Amino acid sequence: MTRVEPGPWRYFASRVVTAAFIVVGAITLLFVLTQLVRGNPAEVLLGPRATAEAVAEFARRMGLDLPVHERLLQFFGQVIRGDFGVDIISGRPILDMVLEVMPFTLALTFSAIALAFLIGVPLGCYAATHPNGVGDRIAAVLSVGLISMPSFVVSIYLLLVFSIWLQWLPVLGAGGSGGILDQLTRLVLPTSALAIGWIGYVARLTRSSMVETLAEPYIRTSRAYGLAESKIIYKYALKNACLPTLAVLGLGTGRLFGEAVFAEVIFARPGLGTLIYTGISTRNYPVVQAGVFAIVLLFAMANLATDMAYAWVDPRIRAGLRGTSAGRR
Amino acid sequence: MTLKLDRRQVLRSAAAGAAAAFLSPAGALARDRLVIRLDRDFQNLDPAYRIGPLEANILRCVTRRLVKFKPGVVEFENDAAASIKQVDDKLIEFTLKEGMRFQGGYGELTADDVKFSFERFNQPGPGGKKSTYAKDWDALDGVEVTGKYSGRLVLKRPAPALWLIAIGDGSGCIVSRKAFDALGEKTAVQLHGAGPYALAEWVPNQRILLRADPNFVGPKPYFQEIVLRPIQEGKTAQLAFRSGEIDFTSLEPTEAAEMARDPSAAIIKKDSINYVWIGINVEKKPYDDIRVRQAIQKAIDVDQVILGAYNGTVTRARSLMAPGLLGHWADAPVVKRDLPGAKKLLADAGLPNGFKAKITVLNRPTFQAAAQIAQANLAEIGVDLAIEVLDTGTYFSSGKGDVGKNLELSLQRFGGKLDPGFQTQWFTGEQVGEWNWQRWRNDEFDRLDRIGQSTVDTKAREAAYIRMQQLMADSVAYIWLTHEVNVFAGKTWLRPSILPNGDDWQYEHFLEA
Amino acid sequence: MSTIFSHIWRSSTGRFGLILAVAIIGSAAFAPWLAGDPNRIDVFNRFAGPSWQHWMGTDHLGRDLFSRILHGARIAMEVAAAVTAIALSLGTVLGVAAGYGPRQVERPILILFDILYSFPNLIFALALVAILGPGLDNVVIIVAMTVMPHFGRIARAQVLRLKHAPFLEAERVLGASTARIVFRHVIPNIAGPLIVVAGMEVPAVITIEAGLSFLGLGARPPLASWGTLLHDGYTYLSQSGWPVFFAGMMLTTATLAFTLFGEALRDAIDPRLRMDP
Repeated sequence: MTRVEPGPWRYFASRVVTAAFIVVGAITLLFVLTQLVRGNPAEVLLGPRATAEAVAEFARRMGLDLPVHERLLQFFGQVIRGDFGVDIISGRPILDMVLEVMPFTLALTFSAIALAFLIGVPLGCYAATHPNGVGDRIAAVLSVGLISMPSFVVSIYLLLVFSIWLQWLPVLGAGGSGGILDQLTRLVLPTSALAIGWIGYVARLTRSSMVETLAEPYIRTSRAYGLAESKIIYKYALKNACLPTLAVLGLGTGRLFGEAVFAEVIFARPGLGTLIYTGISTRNYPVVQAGVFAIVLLFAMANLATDMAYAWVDPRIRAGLRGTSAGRR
Repeated sequence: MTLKLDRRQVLRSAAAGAAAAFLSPAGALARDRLVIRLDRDFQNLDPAYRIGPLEANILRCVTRRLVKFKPGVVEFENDAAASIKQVDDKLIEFTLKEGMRFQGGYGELTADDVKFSFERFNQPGPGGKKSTYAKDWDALDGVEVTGKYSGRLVLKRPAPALWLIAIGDGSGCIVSRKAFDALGEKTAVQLHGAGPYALAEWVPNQRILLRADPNFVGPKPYFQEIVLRPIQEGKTAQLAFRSGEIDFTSLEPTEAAEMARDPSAAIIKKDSINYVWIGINVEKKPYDDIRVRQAIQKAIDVDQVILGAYNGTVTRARSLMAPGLLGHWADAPVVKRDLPGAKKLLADAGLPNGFKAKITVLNRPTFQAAAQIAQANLAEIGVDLAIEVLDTGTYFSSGKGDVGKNLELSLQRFGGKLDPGFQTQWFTGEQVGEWNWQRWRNDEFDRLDRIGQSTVDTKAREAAYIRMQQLMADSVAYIWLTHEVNVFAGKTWLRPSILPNGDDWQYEHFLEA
Repeated sequence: MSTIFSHIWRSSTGRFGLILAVAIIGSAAFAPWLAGDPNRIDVFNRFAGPSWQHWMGTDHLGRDLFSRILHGARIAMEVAAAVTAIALSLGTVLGVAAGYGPRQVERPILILFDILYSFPNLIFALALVAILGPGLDNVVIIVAMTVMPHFGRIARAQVLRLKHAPFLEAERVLGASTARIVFRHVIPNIAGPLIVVAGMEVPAVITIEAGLSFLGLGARPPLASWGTLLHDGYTYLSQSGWPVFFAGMMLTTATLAFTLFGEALRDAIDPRLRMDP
């Protein structure tokens, strides 16, 4: 990171450059991997369904007759123009297919994050102010027990309980035709399946940073001035205690996108996950590739947004005094 | 018009007709929208290049044919034709109703459109591709247009199956020459007919919307809108049905008992004339040795497959033709399970320790379960069977062209039609690389197939079709499993209309009880 | 070694995790002796509930679920071992090369790690499946590729910490070859943290394998992976909830056991390695 008077814009620019670099790298890596395919990549990646014309067209798009570096450039050109080719099954532009389902995945992941925070943060606050109380115990159980349960197991259990035993319906699909209320109803189970593991985690993080914050001198000072305890907690302490939790948000989206694949498949929702999954099971590599790009791009943007939010909350960062600790998952 | 049907068929038809008896819609809250689940999206709506019954069902309610089936029975009534008659074995004359207009502003339906629609089956299509259903119109020499609304079908030879297979079915759908000229290859996904419904909207993999065409001349269909929703997974469909998202779906037989518990569901069961079998590629080593095929046949426990994969809901098939069809081989042998015999055959073939084999199946739970049972059965004679599970698109191309040469065992299911000639046509030498995935060729079979297609005498046809099945049995390339049973779940208020083969749904005759 | 063990044993969660993990590994190892043939089909006895004969009931082909779940443990443990071995060695090589080697070596390796980090775990695994094709062997390679950067990063960080340690400087002054320094001093000194990472990655490995198998991209029938059991159970969910229930529980238990054990191991060996889950 830059050292001399970076200022917010400089910081912003450097984060954008990093994100762009990562995306470019990811695209290159996927490209390199396809070059490792044995035999005729066009035939292998398109599967046995592909007609000779489709194979020829795909080979042309991949630039199989060009030297490697030109192939890569051509490939970048296509990606930048959003030209992912035409799906051999439906004959539609692949970009359309991706854009069509993207909102569903975004709705699912954002609502899962929102739910995790809406429940996790208050739970964490409560646990911090009432150590060893009920909330503390709940948070502890949730964080250990439910983090261990893979989200697809949670999804199937929810399906079993709500649709097979209780028969509370409807649960499947995105509910395109039934209006906004219908769509929201159908979000409930998949969202919960994704959020449950995160609630405990967010609560635990909030709790520990809250405990730390409450021990800071300025809180003690406020207490000495006789400010109301609730005001101290929610107005002063929470803002700082949220910082580490916020950092999780960006990194969490990556894991959520992965988990969303299962939730979408299990609850039969349209989305990037279903798109990638059907692409794989129908051996339709161009579609998989476009879906994966979309997620990498979204993930990079989510990380960028987190960095921004972090810097906004904590001015020390944009001054380059502290780095965000980026990790994955 | 009258039709020469086998007596048993007529009886079956009558029974089915009674079942689908016309009930006038009652109740103040008439529904005008119906949601039906399909197990996949359509792939091609050009009649000549359609994939299967799923496309044909859409085609038959969006377009007109000269004649069409009455609701639920194998009996014809006039559709586009004002009159039509078989003048002799090789000539059919028709006149059209006037004032039938194609959707999308493609003008009036004329005899020239009939000519265009039928003759294109035997002409090379886009990219020189041959029509999948070219055989349906194989007997057609040409259509002579004698007036704007009149014409004649001139045949090369007598064609007893033509009415059932071509004129009255998916291959008899009349499309607009103008529309095809204007749309080119887009006709795969854009369809303009003169039928009761119009293809109003298509959101790939999500829904197909059929809307009653206000300009349609004739009795209006009951439902204003029919939404077809592609849902591949049977279980997803089942849950969607319970949630009220869909009103009608076909079921896997194993799902019937579970669905019957839903008070909103009416379960309909119909014996089917489809056929499911495990095929063996006779060209591929070591299956080119008949002893290896016999060993496999003796090792696989078909009764166990029926019990395990189909929950015992279907009966075992013994040959290609289902009971009730012309050419049903009542004395077809039942191969008994015989492990020592199977092992001995393998040893004789020089494979005493078995070998590694592969079975290719479609990704339906029933088929996968059947394959797993075969896998366990074959393990007992030392054959290590790998299961290759493929999605629809990949599966249906896995036996074609040169790729098909590498196919080993495959679990196949074909839809039957009411004329036996439709069933046998896929097993001829000519179909190797297309639908004959066993790659079994037999000159006598091919010759008999031609005879069956062009003889009017029912007795002679019956004899030919039984002999053909004997030849198939001798080849040991086919292990017949079942003719299936068609099971549907519909909301109790729905009166679906389904032809006796179970695959052909008549959307325009779906009603509310 | 014994101090590490006693350290783990002292923490209650560590003890719990250790016992469970040993139980799972044990049942995996002795599955053929503890339970019957996992592939024996009994079509007269499909979807049976738990009973004395079938402790966890039977699946859609009448196969004994208990036996399939124990054999599933076998697959999970084999995959975990294979993946960890590959990821550990590859990650160590790259990490040490990056940490100890010249800048021209370090830069591309770091870039590779950064890029790998830019893919969400499962999405990267799915992209690889699309290229390499499904199957359990490929899943091992794919999951190894997915978790490898964790080992690489830790290895590099440890090497950097060690690089200028006085005893290494002394060796260098004495003219020891790079190979000798790396193999005699660097690797033994960074082994601890790497073992910790290996322990902590096991739950992720098990989960990704089960996930891919659940999607039908990993273990093939009749192999009984927990993911395949969940998939079969999901397919026939309306007929019987038992297969899904037991397979899900087993997977969760294994994940929990190795998480707790991994955390205890970390606290015992090197508490500084605490990282966000």
